[in-house]
Amino acid sequence: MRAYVIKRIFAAVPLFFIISFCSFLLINLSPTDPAEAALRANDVPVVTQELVEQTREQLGLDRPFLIRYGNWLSDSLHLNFGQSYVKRRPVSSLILPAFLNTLKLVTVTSVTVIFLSTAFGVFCALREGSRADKVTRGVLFAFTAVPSYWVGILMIWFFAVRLNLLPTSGMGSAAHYILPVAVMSSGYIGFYFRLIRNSMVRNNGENYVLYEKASGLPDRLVNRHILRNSLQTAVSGFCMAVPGMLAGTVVVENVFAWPGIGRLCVSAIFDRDLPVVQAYIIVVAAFFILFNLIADLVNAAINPKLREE
Amino acid sequence: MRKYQGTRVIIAGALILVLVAVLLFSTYGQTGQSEDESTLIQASSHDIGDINGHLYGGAQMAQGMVYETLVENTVNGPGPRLAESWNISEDGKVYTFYLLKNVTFQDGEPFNAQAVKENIDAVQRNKERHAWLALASRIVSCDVVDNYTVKLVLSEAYYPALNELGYTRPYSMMSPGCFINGETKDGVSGYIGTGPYKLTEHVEDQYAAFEANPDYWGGEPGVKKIIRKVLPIGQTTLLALQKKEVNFLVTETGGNMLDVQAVRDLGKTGDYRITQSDPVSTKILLVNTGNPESPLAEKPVREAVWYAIDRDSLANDLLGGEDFPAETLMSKAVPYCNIDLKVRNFDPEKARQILDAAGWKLENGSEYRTRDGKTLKFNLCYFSAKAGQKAMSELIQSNLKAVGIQLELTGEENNACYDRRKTGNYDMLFDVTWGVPYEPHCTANILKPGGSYGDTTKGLPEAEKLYRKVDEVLASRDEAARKELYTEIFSTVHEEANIIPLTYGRLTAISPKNLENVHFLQNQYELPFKDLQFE
Repeated sequence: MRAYVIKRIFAAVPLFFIISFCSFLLINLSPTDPAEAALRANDVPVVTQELVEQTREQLGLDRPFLIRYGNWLSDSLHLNFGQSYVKRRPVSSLILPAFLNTLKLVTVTSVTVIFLSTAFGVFCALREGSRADKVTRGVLFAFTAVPSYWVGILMIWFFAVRLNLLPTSGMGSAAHYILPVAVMSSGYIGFYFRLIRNSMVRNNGENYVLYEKASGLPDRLVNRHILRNSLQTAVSGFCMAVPGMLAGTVVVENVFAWPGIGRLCVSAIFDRDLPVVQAYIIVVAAFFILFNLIADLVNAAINPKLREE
Repeated sequence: MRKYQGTRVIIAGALILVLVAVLLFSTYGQTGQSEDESTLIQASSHDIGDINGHLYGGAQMAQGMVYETLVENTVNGPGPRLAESWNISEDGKVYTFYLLKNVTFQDGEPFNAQAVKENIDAVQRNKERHAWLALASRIVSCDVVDNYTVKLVLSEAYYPALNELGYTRPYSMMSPGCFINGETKDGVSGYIGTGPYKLTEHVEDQYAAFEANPDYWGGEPGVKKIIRKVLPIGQTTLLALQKKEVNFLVTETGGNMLDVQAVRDLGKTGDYRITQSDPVSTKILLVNTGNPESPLAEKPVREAVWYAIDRDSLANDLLGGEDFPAETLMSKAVPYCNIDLKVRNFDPEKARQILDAAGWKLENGSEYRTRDGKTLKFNLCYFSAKAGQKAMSELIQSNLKAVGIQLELTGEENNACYDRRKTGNYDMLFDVTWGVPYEPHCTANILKPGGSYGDTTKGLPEAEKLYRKVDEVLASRDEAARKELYTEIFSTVHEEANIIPLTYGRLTAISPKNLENVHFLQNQYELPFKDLQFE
């Protein structure tokens, strides 16, 4: 297992560098001059050429591309992502609080998704073909199909305005988590519960299950074995869902006025605030790589055959 | 034991996640968003940002609460604020300001001539950034005469000098105690002005809290606390207003994200009062006259476009009566702009006649006009992030199609549209004017080459004459001559149809029913919070 872990970690390192270079290159291909965009984002009413030149110099944009990339990469590895072109503050002071806010939302959502999709998956698999199975699948599929913006507005209207049970938006108390977590998890639960259910249904027909049942093993134990063998697909899915959620919270963050990294990144993209966008890409890429690694390691822990491969 | 290892890993991982979640819930308490009824909770789509009064990154509405200027722009022209009076030398180059006494900054520092000098000098040391403001390039020095008298020396006469000193930025008066090494261009150590409100708390992208300044020279404001809460989405804002989590909102011209009917319905509930301003800005189409290949280089085509657009539908059907139809670039309420100009009402038949006369014919069975095998078509670029522009552009497209003009629409994000405006890479471009007190001199100034509207005048036969008049009017010291010059400038722009007006935009304030004295300033980006009072 140790050799497998080392091999996987070493495979992740070049991937990280490739992503960093590609993102830096692509972002710098943008036709809009970031110095000019930074001035516009600061509402400077008339942007003169002299001012643009002065700003380019201040931001270090007059240096060659490879030097800028090298400096940026070296600083980034020390968690120094430079200065925001627009806010003139260290990017880390912008990214970190926003990232933590999103991480809080994603953590609670992940817990909710894991427990509810496992619970629904097992519930439906054990009742395969029954009315309860069909109704549950139908309802959860509907939640997956509708846009989160619409679900969010509907939930705010019903739970916050009509029933006056919850706040409409913002963050601050446990109550503020309920609606955004419900909206974010509704889409993911519909997807992951099906993975578990289908995998369990498939495993139910395997020879080892027939053998266990024929041996008179209690249903509780047989089901536990089926679930354990069915989790492998879902584990990969869950692990990749976490960075996916981190990268995809912008709609929910806007609807619920949640000051997270999604909102920060979208406004940085519109303002051409390149250091913020680059830091965002690197952070999210690192999380994708990390969770991909975790998925592989967990799967290898569940299934020893994978380690041998 | 080994065969259960995987399951244990999952269970352990899940338990850790649950633990983290529980900790998250337990470490967060209520942050006190529920306030008493005398607190005004304003919804805003943006954070206040860096409200350094000498820069532009912050919300102007918040800057206006904290800082004040020497003079104030009013409907009757510049009036006193921190300067109780002033006089201007015969040659128009020296302004002497007599300051209010007994005014202190919110940090207790005295407001005096030395503070004014330090502020103006700090702004001037960053004058490249204020190049849009002609005053910045004309200030030679700011001299202390005595403790409450300062003298501002200009290189040449510039009649809008007082107007520009009255803009909230960049000539806001900040306490020199918050300057960093005597400078403000790279940031300040605090946001401290002489204004009616103090910024007491700011959680970025969440909210900012302002409390009434008890030592305000004009008397402590009636509303003791104002919280400005960030709500990026219009729908959520309306729901928060319904739930009374926020109770105050001022719309933004050109960028409203609110449903007009929903706002009106809120007014009908009896919980809120809706107040609307007079027109504050004009939604316009900039027409690029500088490309000889474009049909828009021809005046008849531009005039036909003007006649073909149904402004009543834009204002009343599409914008629900929030805007007024506009027939001139500047409303008659703008200083020097009460000018009699040829009215070009919606008249598609007239548009067709003009195009026919110009040789653009509609062949049988064709949708669009042609001339010498060339179809009468051009594009309109609009800001896709600004609510309403897409729908307005689509209505204009259908209006033009009705007279045989093919209009292609291009919706782009702000930077792309600004790039087009700067490089002249457009046929027609949506825009919104700044409104008073920046009008009419700022708009006149940007008609010149290199200005934001420079491409609209580039192809005009009288372009050079127009530019000379703009220079003359800005330096003019004679009121009658100035009026005449503005009349000529805006008559030319109107006659040439190089900027096509669409609607005059208004501001709407939604306020609690017991909040009195809600009214607007000349500047569309600010509100007189100090005048508000709960019953």
